Amino acid sequence: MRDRDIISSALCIVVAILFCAGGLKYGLGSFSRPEPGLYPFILGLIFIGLSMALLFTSLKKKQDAIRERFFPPREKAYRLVLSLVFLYAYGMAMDQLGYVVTTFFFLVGVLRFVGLQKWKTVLTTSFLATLFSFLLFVTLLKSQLPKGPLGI
Amino acid sequence: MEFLQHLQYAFKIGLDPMNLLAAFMGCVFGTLVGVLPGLGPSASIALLLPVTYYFTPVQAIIMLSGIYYGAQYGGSTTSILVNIPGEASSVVTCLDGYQMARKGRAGPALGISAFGSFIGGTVSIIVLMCLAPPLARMALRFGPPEMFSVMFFGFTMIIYLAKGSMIKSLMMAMLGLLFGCIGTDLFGGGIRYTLGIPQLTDGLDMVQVSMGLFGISEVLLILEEEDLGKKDIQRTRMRELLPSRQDWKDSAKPIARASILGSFLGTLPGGGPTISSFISYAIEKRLSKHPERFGTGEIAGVAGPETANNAACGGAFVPLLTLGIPTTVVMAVLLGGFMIKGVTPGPFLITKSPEIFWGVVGSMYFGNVMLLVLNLPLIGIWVRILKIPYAILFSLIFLFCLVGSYILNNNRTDVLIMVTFGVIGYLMKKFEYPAAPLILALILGPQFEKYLGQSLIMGEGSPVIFFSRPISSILLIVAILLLVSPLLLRWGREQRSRLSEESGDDLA
Repeated sequence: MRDRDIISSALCIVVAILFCAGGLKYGLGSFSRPEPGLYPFILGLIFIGLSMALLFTSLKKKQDAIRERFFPPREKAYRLVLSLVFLYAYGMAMDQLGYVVTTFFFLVGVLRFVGLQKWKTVLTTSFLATLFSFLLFVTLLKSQLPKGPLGI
Repeated sequence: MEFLQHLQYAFKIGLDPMNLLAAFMGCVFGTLVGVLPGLGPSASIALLLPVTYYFTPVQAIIMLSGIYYGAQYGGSTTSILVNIPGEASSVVTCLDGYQMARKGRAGPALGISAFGSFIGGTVSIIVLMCLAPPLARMALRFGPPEMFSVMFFGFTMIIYLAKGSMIKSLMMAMLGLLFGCIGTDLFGGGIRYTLGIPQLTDGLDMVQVSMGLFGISEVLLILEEEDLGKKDIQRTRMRELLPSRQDWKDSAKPIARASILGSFLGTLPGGGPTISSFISYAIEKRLSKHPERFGTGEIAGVAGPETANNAACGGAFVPLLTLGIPTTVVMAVLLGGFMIKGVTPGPFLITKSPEIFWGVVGSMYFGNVMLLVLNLPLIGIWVRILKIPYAILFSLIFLFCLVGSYILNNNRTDVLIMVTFGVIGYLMKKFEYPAAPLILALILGPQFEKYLGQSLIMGEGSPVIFFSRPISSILLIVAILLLVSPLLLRWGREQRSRLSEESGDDLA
């Protein structure tokens, strides 16, 4: 945990510095006449202080006797990476391809390549889930979901 | 007399057919959520927030509330039948509930759990009805310094009681407050930290953040850890569904104690179903004539915690509805639901929107009855749902999150932000940073800044104003003491060990 605390506290310091820099840009003003940047600037300073406290206490600790793996083994890590690829791709593609097509192919992708299901299960589940979600969100709840080039 | 009038009004709104339907939907979905491990009430309420756009404010809040207390009922089912807690508040139920199931007594375990939940829930509604109006009247006298101090106190309790390192909880609270600065400054009207993304002008939507932090990140963690195969559900013969007379005799006092305990613990920031269930179990074990039986299938070990966790649900509504302060993550997400419907919980809710306050109260009575009636006959169905392999279920959870975040504003940027928060949530879990302080701070952040700014203007820039008003000063002093108490305790321990070393040297 020591190494993880060092890395995470360092990342937090960077994030806090960015917020403080933004606060300076928006103007600080004074306590009786605060400007938009004062509040986030003070919060950023407190955040830096806390992160540095964590960083120093972590540096003082001894190295962990057993170092736990941070990233999962390759055979499980691919599931995470693929899932994120499909999730982001869904967000990017929905406006262009439409809700129905994007949803169907998203489900096919995650069920087949992440869930490792057989094609019969993949296609059946994807079809039924797409249909059900369409009926729920579009037909019943009248949500404005995008239509693709096929008009669906 | 006033109590009866309020009760009559609550029942009138609660019995409205559409409100009853909303309560029913919330209870069913809440039970389903409780049954399924991995998808908690926070994520589920967040997932359904977009759906509530199509409901009136009263119906929406009733449905979302139903999910909250319904999840407590559902969580016990898997704890007892499968030894897997559906919710954090049902972890303790595994200890004795599963052992009862292994002895062929799953029926009485499930039965006493359902009845205890009903009684606990009912008592907490009465507590809510009794406490909320006078607390709201008192809160009308609160000015910006008091509201700031109440929120500060609430943050402190959540941080103090959060799992793991307190410094990490504090850091996440700061990060949540900073994320709350994204968008338009409520005070000055300036736009901050939007990185040129127009969708961020109104700030981060807590629906996207909640779905990402709780829904997506949870699934990512499970994908990393589990084999995604079918869960082995132990087939248990349920010889009888209803508890026996002896079961009732053994459970009566635990249920009574847990009802009161849970109702009051639920009102405290950081309290809530999980802590209530643990404390109840500890109390019952301490008071039992046979504490050695706990962990082997003792019915008091099921009755107490399950009653306490449901009682805490009602108690948690007290500070939310009267002060607008959520005391748990779920309440924070529910607060988001109120805001989406244009309702501001707080001291004025009972007077300006009585139909919402009393509608929630009334629907809780009927919701508890529905849950009692639903849960016992539907156990077979819940068990079948549990058999859906996670390898399929996770894709549906992803889909729900994706569509739910899109339909907020029909904008793909919301989806991308939601997924990004999923990654942030995943990393937070890997680095062991708690999400509760972050989400609470994000939701309350804008109000927190507003009250701070107003208070400083009232005090002409001096923070002394917070200590010149009695309620504000008491809350702040207690909060500061809580924050520094771990340091003080550590200093005390070091002094004591140094003294004992010195006295040991002297003797030598």
